[in-house]
Amino acid sequence: MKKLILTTCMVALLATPAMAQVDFTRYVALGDSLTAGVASGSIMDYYQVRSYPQLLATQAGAGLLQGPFIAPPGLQPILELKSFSPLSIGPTEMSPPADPFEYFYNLTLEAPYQNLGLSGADTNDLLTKTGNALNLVAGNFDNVVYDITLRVPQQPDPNTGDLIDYTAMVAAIGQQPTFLTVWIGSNDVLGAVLAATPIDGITMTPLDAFAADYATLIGGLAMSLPSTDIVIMTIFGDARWLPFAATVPTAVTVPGIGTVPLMGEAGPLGPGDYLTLPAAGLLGQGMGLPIPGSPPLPENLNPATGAPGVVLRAAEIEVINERLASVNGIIAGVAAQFPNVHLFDVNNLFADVVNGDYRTFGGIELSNAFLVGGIFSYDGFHPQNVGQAVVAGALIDFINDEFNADLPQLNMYAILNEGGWNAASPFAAICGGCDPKSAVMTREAFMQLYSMMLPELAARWDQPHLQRQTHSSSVD
Amino acid sequence: MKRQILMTAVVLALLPSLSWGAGFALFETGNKALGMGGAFTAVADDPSAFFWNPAGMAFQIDEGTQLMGGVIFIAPSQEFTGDSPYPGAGYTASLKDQVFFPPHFYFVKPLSDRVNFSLGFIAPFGLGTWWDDEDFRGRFISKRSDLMVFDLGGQVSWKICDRLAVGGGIDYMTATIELKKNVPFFNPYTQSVVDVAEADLHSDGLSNNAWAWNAGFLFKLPAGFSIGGMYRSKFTIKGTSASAEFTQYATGYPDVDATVASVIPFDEKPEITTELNFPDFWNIGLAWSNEKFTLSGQYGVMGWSVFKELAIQFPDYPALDSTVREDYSDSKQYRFGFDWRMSRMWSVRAGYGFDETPQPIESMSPLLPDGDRDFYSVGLGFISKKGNWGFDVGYEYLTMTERSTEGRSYDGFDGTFHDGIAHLFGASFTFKF
Repeated sequence: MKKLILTTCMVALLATPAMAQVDFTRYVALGDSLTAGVASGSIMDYYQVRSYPQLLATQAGAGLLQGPFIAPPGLQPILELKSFSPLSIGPTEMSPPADPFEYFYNLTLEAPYQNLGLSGADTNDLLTKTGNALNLVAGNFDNVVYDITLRVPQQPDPNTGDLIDYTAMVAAIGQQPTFLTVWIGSNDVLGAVLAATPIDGITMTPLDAFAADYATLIGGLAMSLPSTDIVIMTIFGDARWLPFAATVPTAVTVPGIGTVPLMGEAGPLGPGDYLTLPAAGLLGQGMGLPIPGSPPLPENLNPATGAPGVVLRAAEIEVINERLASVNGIIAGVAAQFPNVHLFDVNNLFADVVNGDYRTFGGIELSNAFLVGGIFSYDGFHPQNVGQAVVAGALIDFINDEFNADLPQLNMYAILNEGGWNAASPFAAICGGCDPKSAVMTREAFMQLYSMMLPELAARWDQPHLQRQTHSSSVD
Repeated sequence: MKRQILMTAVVLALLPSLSWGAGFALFETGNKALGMGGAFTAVADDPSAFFWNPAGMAFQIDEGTQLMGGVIFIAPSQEFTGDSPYPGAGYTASLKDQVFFPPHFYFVKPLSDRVNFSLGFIAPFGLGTWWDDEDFRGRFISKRSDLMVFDLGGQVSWKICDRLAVGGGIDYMTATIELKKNVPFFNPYTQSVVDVAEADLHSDGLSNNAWAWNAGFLFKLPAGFSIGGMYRSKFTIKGTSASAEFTQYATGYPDVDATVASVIPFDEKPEITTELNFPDFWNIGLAWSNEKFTLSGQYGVMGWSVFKELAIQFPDYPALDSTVREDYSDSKQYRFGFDWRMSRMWSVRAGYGFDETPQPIESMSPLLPDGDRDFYSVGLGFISKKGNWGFDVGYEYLTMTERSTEGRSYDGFDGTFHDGIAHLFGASFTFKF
C-alpha cells in the first residue's frame, strides 16, 4: 500500500501541469486550396490569413505563418455576390496592382513559407511539382501557384549537397517542423463533382495511384521527421455536401401542371440526381426545361473540348462517394502505420454539420447551405473565413484531446461578425447593372474554379473556337 | 433613476416575475417562514401553512378566522463572463436590475373545533431574466424571459386527535409566460451574422392552467417535539393559448429582407403550443418548542427531473419549432430556523438553508442560469396585545454558487455565471376575527 502511495506521489511529481503538450515552435501546413485559404474562387490575403492553419497557429502562439500572400482582388478576381435575389455571382471588377511585387507582396521573403497549401494540388502534386518565381518575372503565369509558393525549382540536399527538386514535401521537411498538418486528397476526387463526371485519370486520380502517392507522402514525412507530430486529415465524404452540387433544384413548378423534372441529355432528372451550380445559368437561358424546343442540359464532361457537364446522376454520385470513402479509408490506414501520425476526421465534422448535429454558437446554427449557411464561400466549393474557423476550432479540440494540450479556442463571436473581405463596402443590394437572366454563377466565376481544380480541361475549354463549336452544351 | 424605477414598477405590476429558488421555484409565501429560513413544515403555525404544511392549519382553529396578506420583494443580480468559442473569452454581461414581488394572501375559517378551511393565493414558481445590453451576445437564446405561476387553492385540515392533524387541498395553477429573443441570419452579402427579427413568444394572459393537489400531516410529540411532512403534486401547464409576434429588423438589403419575410410570418401572430412540466415537492421536518423558543429543521426534495425540455411548437409553421434541452435532476434542500419569543408581543427569528440546483451545467443559459443557493435570513414578528392582529417582517440574503458551463453548454453559450446574489425583504400582516 505504501508503495502504491509513493508511486502515485512520484507520478504526480513527474506529471507536468495542464499545458500544451505539443510544440508549435515550427508549424508547417501542407495541403491544397483548403489549406491555402482559397475562398470565392480566388486566393487572396484576407482569406489566406484566415485559413485554418493560421487560425491554429495564432491560438498556439506561433504567430504569422508565412505564405504567398496576394493583394486584392486575389490571384483571380475574387467572386462577389452581385445580387441575392435574383441570384448572381461573378468576379469583382477590381483590378490587381500593376506592380507584381505589390500584387505578390510576400514573394521576396528570404525564408520558406510555412503555409504550403497549393491551390488545385492533388497528392501527387505535393510529391512532384516545383515552382520558379522567375517565371512570373518573365510574365509566364502557367504554373503560378507553385511559382509563388515554392519559388525555387531546386535546392541542395542538406546531406549530400546534390541539387534536388524543391517540391512541397521537400519544402516541408527542409523546415524541420515541430508540428505538421497535412490535408490533401480532395482534388484526387472532387474534380468529378466540378465537371459532373467521374472519370478515372481525368477528373479523379485512380485509386491505386492515390494509395501509392499518399503512402509515399505521409510515409516519407513520418520517417524523415520522426520526432514531429503530424496530423493528417480526411476529406469531405459526400459530393452532395458541397453547395456546388446541392443547391440547384432538379424540378420546376409549372402552373397548372405541378412539379416537372428538368431534362438532361439522358432524360428527365429523377430522385437522387443533382445539378451543379452552372446549371442554373443554363436554365436561365432556357435549357433543360421540360418544354419542346428546350435543349437538354449537358450531362457529362467532353474530354476533347473540356466542356463540363452539369448533371450529377445518382449513379455518378454513388461512384464519387464510394471513391471518397475509399480515399478516407486509405488516409485512416496510413495514419495507423506511423506512431507520430495522428488522424483528424474532418469528414466526421462535416457530417455533423450537414446532419444538424454540429454545435450552435449561442443560437446561431451553421449549415452547408449555399450563401446563407455560413460555411461555404461564393464558389460553393471552398469555405470562407467562418468555414475555415469551423475546421480550425474542431482541429484545436482534436489537438487538445490527442496531445493533452490546452490551446485556447477561437473567438467565434468575432469571426461570425467580421464578415467577408468586402463586408465593409457592400454592393448595392438591388442588382446594379447585372443581368437578371445571367447565371447564378457566371461563366467567368465557374472558369476560376475550373482552372484551379482541372486546369488542363479548363485551358482546353477556354479556347474560343472550341467554345463556339460546343456552344449548345457549354456552361455560359 | 427614479423614472426607471417607476417604469420598472409599472411593468412589473402588469407582469410580476422572478427567479429565485433553485430551478424556478419560489418559496416566498410568508414572512415568518422567510425569517426562519423556510424551515416551517414542522412548525406551520400561521396561515402560510397553506404552502409549507396544510395540516398545520388544524392546530390554528383556536385562532378563529384569519386573514393574512403580504409580499416579499426580491432583488436579484447576476454576472456572466464568457468563454471562447462563443460568446468569446472575456465577454461580460449582467442581469438588468429588477425587483420582483410575489404576493401571498390567505383566508382561514374554522368549520368546527376539529376542521379548518382555508383559501390561498401564492406564486409557487417564477422566473425573470433580462439581460442589460441591446447587443447582448446571448440574444439569440433569450433577451428577456418571464414566467409566473399563480396558485389559487382551497384546503381542509382535520385535527384527528390533540396531537395529530392532516390536511390537503387542490390548487388551480395559472401561468403567464413570455420569452423574447432575436432571430439570427447569415447575411449573404456581408457573410456575417445579422439580426433579422425579434421574436416575442407569450401566453395570452392567464389562460393556460392546470390542476394540482397537496397534502400534509403534523404530529405533535411529547416534550415539545413535532414532526411534519408535506407533499405538493407535480403538474403540467399546456400552453395552448399562446402566440408569437415577430418584428422584422431591416438589414439594409431589400432582397435579403424580402427573403426573410417569406420565411417568418411578420404579418400575423402565429399560434404556439408548449408544455411545461412543474415538479412535485415534498418535505419532512422536525421541530422543538418550549415557551420561549422554537427550533426547526427540514429536508425536502423537488422532483425537477420532470423538466427535461422546453418545446415550443408552431402548428402552422413547423419550420419555426424549437426545443430547448433542460435535463434537470431532482434537487434536495435543507432548511434550519429558530424563533425566539422575546416577549408576549415580539419575536425574533433567524434561519439558514441550502437549496441544490436541479440544473446540469449543460443547460445553464441566458434563459435561466442556476446554481446551488445558500441563504441566511432574519425576521421579526409582532402580535398585538389583544392578539387580534400582527405582522411579520423578514429579510434573506441569498448567494448562488459560481458555475462554469465548462465548454458543454447545449446552447453553445459558454462561460461562468457568477456573483449571483439576491436580497429578499417582505412583510405580512395577519388579522384575526
